[in-house]
Amino acid sequence: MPEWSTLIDDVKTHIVEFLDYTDRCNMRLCSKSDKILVDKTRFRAGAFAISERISEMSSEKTLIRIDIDTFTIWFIGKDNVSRIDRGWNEEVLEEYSKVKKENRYDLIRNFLEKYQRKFGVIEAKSILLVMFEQQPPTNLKIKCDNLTIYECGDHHQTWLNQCASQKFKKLDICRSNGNLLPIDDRILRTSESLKLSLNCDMTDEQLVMLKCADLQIKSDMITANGIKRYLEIFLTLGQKQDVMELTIALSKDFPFMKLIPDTLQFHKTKIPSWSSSVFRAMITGGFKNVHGIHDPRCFRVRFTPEKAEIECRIEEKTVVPCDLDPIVLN
Amino acid sequence: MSVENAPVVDVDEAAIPVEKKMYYRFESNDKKEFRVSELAIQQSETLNRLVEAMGYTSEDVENKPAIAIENIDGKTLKLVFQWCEHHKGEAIPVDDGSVPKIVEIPEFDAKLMDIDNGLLFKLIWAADYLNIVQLLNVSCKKVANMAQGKTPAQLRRVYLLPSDEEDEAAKRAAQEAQDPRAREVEEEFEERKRQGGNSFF
Repeated sequence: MPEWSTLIDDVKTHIVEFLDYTDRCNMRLCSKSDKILVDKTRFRAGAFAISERISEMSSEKTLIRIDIDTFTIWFIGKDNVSRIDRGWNEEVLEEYSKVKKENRYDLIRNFLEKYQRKFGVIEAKSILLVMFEQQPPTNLKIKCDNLTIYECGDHHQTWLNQCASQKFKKLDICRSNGNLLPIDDRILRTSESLKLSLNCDMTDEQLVMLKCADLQIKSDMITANGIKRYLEIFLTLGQKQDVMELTIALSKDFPFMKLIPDTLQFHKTKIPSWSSSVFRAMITGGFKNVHGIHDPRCFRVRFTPEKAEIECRIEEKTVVPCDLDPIVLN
Repeated sequence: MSVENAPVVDVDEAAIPVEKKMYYRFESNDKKEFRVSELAIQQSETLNRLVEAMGYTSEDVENKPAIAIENIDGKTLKLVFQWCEHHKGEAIPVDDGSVPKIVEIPEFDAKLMDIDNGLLFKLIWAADYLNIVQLLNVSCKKVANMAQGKTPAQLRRVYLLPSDEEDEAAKRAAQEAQDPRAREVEEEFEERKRQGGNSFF
């Protein structure tokens, strides 16, 4: 008796729910009934990524790839000619490759809309958008725990607006130049890591509401008092790998020691000649970390060039000895 | 605890526990009998409800016939009860609707499920029938892991997936079983079509 067919549909669905995108695609090809089964099973990818880069052959041509778990679809082309490749684990399956006389951005829009029609929403544990300077289709919805938007022009706000997640575990938005990012409650609810390497309007009150200790924020509205208050939260909640990095407007002659709360035990440390820091201290105690991590934290201030970048972290000592190449004379 | 040491055995008078805990007796469809602790039974929603409804006393358990589980054979039931005994007292996972579920297969479960595919599918069937949530989770995960990196052809072989033709044949057989006249009607329809008739009616 065929084993699979002895199972009821609910159990088959339960099994398919564990399959990643690639395995689901393969299963869909087995028979009509398996196609129906896979299509009706809810799907949440582990990782969904869209990235774009300029071709090494021609500056007008770009390569856009969409990764869904181990499956990749590439849209390569310029103007209104595009080649579409598909593959698993970076290996292109030539039999599925085709050339279309359509613009690659239109093809991607169609792909995303089709994907959404099939699964209701583009849902993944992590969604990454890397250098893809295109606005999402108007009705597109994404949902994820971890969202990374890296240099996607000024479209980061639109992608963020079209994200249905009520909170994030990790949120990472990187944009060299661009509009000020408005901070909302959803951003403030980020639970593990919040990295906004673009200017935002976060205030002191918002800063001390944060519950995540891996933090990178640039805001002219954060004051020295806000830093002082957040530092206590960071020391209480921070895990070993967490880093606090806040870039704020601060006068160069500010007495930096005043950024550290009086309740903490710390001492100033020598600034190495190679360092761009203007202030360095080692926080050795006076805080109670919820994870039991009481290693000394290195606290430093440097200017980049007008704004003060204030960083606090556990400084890992290099364990690998520095090997020098032997100098052979003559 | 290893699979071999799990405290479920075919009935053997010498092995009857002396402790005061209640042990229920179950019988598979091939007349194999098992004694299973009350706590282990709680892993199965179906069996737990059944024994609650029966309201057996310790004497009833000994004197009345073993509870028959007619759809499951002894080999499969032994695995099921070994699993239940090993995981007795553990919290039963609540379905929060998340997809995919985060399921780790513990070492004991991995060893227990180191069996041929036929028995594994029977174990899944039994876990579903007896409503043992975590056993269903781990066994389904094990089957899903078997699909990793497989081509459609390999998947057909691993899971013994029926082809479209086999699906059609199974559907026809099911229809025929319900209505034996259906096949005749279909054949008559095909015959009339071949003869150029526009419509059966």
